[in-house]
Amino acid sequence: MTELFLLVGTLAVISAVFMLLSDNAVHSALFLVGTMVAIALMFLLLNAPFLALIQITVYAGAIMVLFLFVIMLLGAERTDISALIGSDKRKFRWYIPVAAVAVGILFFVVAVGVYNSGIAGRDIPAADPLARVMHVAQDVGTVDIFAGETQIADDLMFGEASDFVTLPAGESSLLFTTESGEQFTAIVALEGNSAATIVAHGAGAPTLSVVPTDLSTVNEYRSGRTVVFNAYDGVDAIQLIDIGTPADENDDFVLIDSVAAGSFSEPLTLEEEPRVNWLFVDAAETNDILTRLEDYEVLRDESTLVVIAPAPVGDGTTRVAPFVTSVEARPAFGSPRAIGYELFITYMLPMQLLALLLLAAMVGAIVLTRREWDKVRDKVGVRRRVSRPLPQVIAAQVGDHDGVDAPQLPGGEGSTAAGD
Amino acid sequence: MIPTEMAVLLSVVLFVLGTLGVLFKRNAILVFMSVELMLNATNLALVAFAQQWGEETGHLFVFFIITVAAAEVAVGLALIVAIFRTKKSINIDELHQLEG
Repeated sequence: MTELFLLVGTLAVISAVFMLLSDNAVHSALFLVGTMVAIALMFLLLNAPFLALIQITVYAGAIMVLFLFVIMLLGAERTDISALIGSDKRKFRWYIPVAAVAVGILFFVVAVGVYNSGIAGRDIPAADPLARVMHVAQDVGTVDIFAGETQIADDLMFGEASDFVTLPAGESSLLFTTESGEQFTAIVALEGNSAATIVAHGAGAPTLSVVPTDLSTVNEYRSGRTVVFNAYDGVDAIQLIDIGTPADENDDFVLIDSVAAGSFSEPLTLEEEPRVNWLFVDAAETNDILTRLEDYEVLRDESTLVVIAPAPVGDGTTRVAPFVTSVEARPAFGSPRAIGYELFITYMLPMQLLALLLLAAMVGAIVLTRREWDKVRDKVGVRRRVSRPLPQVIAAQVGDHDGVDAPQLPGGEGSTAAGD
Repeated sequence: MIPTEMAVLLSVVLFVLGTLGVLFKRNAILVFMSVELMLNATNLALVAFAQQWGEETGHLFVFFIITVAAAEVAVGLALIVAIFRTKKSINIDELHQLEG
């Protein structure tokens, strides 16, 4: 990686130097394209693929084409390098050595500053953990949940999960208030730089289990991530079987061998699929079907948590049921999606202002290069010449500056022009 | 992962080369190209720091800088064309109209 960096960096610097030394402006522009492409490669190496593409299309493409176009339009290919190498016919320019020394000092100061700043060894502080609560606790109805001052959930229904909130790293005390006003307190420990789902389960005072929830990008092609948490203690462990389509009995296969009560499985990475049928069975006695998940959709780039828990049926008894909650995985660092989220959520207004700026620049460029200004200047000149003898006025209007003798000029047009 | 200080050093080298171009070049278009080189150097530093901190804000700023550079090039080159039309020259030594 570092070798590649050195290679690309050398390419960028050499291109830039040749851009400065080249005595043909077109060559300079092409060397600048080389530098731009090298910088785009550098962006790729620095985990910024989106910017690398933008760099190529906008800089190496659009902007450099504009440069080349103007150079060729003005016929300004030939430039002088005499000022740089010193063989100038004009008198000695005292500011050249001064500028060279100043630039050298600039480079030295910044280089020393970079090395002494300790950029390399700086530790980035761990981000506070993200957490949400999934409520599958028995006999408490809806709950309000607070962690200190932070409200995690308001009237959270059975089988549902709250949104993610930021909690301090380390131990947090969660206060559950049930519908009937009963209060429970439970303590969870969370690590920094992580995200977790706190599953409240069990009868009576809820037991809290922390299930790590991986929000990072799913690297596998069009896949989602699924974790199964077993909150049912009626059997020792449960097994997850994908039964495919119910018509075909030969396509069953075991996805998760066994998940003990109160624990969670390893994350499964599954390709997106519109309809899956899953069976949750007793791991010891696989013919004993506990519950099933039918027509379930596996979504790509989602982190899904399936909680198997006893749910109240109504007449006081319970039945085991799966509770599914999904959250979108975070897009990869520097990817177009990640930039898009930032752009449209945090930087919407600056982006709109920039769009206006681009529009203004476009209009400005058109106005500046309009030929109309030349005509306006000519008209001003004609007005001034009206007090002169008639043949000259006619000559100016017709555009014939040499022949000012009246007989040769078209009389009809001349008389109307002279009238104003 | 590329060491941030190396990327920043490269960015400094490119920035200094751009500065040299702005100071020594007499052709207005080449001065302009050197300014572009300086902008690119700052972009490189921003991307390097964004990687260091794991923050995408740096990428957003680079995106904005590229947009502003595009606008600036459009207006600047239009100015150069307009100046060339009146002065028949784009040598910046001959373009001192505001000299007192």
